Amino acid sequence: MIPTRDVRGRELGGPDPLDRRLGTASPSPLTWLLSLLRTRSALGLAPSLTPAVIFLPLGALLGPGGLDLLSPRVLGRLDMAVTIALAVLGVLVGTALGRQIRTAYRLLIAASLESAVTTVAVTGATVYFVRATGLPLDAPVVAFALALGLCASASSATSADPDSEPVAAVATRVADLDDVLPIVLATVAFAVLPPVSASAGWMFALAPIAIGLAVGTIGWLLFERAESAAERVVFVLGALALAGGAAAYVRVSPLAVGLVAGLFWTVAPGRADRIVQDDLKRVQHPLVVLLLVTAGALWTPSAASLWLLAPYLLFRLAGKVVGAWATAGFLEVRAGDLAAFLMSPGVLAVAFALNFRQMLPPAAGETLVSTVAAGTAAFELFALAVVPHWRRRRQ
Amino acid sequence: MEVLDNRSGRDARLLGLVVVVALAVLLVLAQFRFPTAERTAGLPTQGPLDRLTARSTYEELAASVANVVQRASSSVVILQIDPVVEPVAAPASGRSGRTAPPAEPAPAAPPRLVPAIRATRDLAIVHLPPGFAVAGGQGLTGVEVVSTDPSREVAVVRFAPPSEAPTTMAGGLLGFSGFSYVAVIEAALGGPTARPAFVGRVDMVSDDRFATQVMVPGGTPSIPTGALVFTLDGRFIGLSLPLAGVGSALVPARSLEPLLLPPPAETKIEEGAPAAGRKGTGRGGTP
Repeated sequence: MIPTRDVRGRELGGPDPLDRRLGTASPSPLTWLLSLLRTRSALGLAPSLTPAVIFLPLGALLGPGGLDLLSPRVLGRLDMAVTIALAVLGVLVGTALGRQIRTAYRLLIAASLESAVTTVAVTGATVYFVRATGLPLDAPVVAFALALGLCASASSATSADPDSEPVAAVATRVADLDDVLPIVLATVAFAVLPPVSASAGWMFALAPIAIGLAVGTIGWLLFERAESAAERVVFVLGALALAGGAAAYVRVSPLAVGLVAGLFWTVAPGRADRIVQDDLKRVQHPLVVLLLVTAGALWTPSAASLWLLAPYLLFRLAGKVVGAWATAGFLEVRAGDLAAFLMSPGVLAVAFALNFRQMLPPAAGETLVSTVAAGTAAFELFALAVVPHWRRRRQ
Repeated sequence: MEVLDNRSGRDARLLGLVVVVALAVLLVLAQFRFPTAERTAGLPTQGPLDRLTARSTYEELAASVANVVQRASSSVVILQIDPVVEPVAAPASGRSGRTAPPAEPAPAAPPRLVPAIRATRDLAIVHLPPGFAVAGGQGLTGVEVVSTDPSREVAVVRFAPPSEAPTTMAGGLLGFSGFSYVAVIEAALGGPTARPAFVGRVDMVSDDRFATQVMVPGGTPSIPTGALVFTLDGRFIGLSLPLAGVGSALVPARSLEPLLLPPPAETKIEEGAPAAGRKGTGRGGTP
């Protein structure tokens, strides 16, 4: 049994493990559909089965291409909130990494290998496809393809109950840890690839670490000295706002800043990581909804994004299968089962896309978000509808 | 053990199948060319600590204007308009039987590049001053004039739409109250360009030629006729068209859209009629 505090809060889109333990038997399709319509679940205040399937289309409906309730001006105003949400996700990844790096070193290596295989597959396919078809991009092809590959590498394993069987528990932890490599790779890649000038490259690589350490130190000094719970919440939210705001101001990845801060809070002596995790439970689901709705609103059905769906869908699938095959023996699980559980991209794929959108030129960023949002919805549906039957048939 | 071997065999088959299918589909799709091969230059990315250094507000304004060009480029096309050469009348013979000396041809105005606002996927509206005709489009094919309206000095032009074309006019602004910086989009050799202009007081003026009121910026005119005016967040304010008495006015999208409708049968707008003060109910004469 995995201790409750050691399991990440399924902030990647699925139900919390604790909620699942306390829950009843699997609902019927009608019950499940009705549960989606209930207020708390629909508003993201409580976990629902696959938020991406619900909130990405909802965002597209509310966005400029639909009802225009989320107009370009509103989306521009939301940029800051999105950045803070990305920093929060980075903190969650960092705390998961900090807790598991000592005890699950092999898992981290396996998850990173699986993630790297998917990244290489999608990046290579995208570079070839863009060059072969002459698809117009206003960003360097390699940088764009790498961003797409890193988005594809994220997994959430939300199709599985972590406690249901051993392979599900392993897949859940792999999915939790396979987000670390993309964040690190993104930080390094955007430091060395154009359009960043050579002189600014080292600054791009070091700035997230410096900001993350600064925010981590500030939080570490403050959190345990709070005189009341309310004051502590203010300190936590203030530290997260500082992480996101500083990252946005110097235009570096808020995910990387949050990762460093979360890692610092976990490794540093004291209870800073538990305090942060407890307080983040109040905001993590609304933030997930915010990210998904924003990504849905930014979805524009351009020809370029539709064309890029081909390498994204095909080679994410192939990359996950090859990655699972490469790491299954290492983790002592079946490759097919592991691949099935890792098929769901979760909210982190969307988070990566929103992060890269802030770094890429505007048109390329919108194309990337559109491709990843559509791909995420497709894979979530695939994981929901196909994978369980696929596994059942295989068993 | 046999079961595990069977499962490993299935995993290997699954792996092979997925990889082969992915590669095959990619190779097949890669045989097709993307419909448009237009590549646009990206904006330079800022350094990570650039924003920490002191910057003048003008730099931020410049970045905003550059961003407007990026955003509005899909809504703007550049057309070339050439002067119409009037046929020179044959010299008439006088009563004396002597032939009059040939008249000196008027110096022809040079061709111009002008911006046009896209109203639909394949239609754009452009300011067409008297004595000019649309000759072509920058990077466009199949350019043809659908209609011209001498009273409003506009023309509706059809062209073969690129694949990524907007289906409606770029996010029109419902009300512009002035006292803000705007981006004035004009034509350049390589595409649309923009410059900032401060628009102070704006007065709404009724003009019989347009369905809604038009906006007349106060002060010394800084927006040339024919230019497209956008807000700094990329929303279309209006097309600058001549207005008798005040120089020029900004005609909003709501007043431009009716120009695309077919003209009522009973309406006929005379060629060469005065530009202002007449009732315009649709498109005017033919090209």
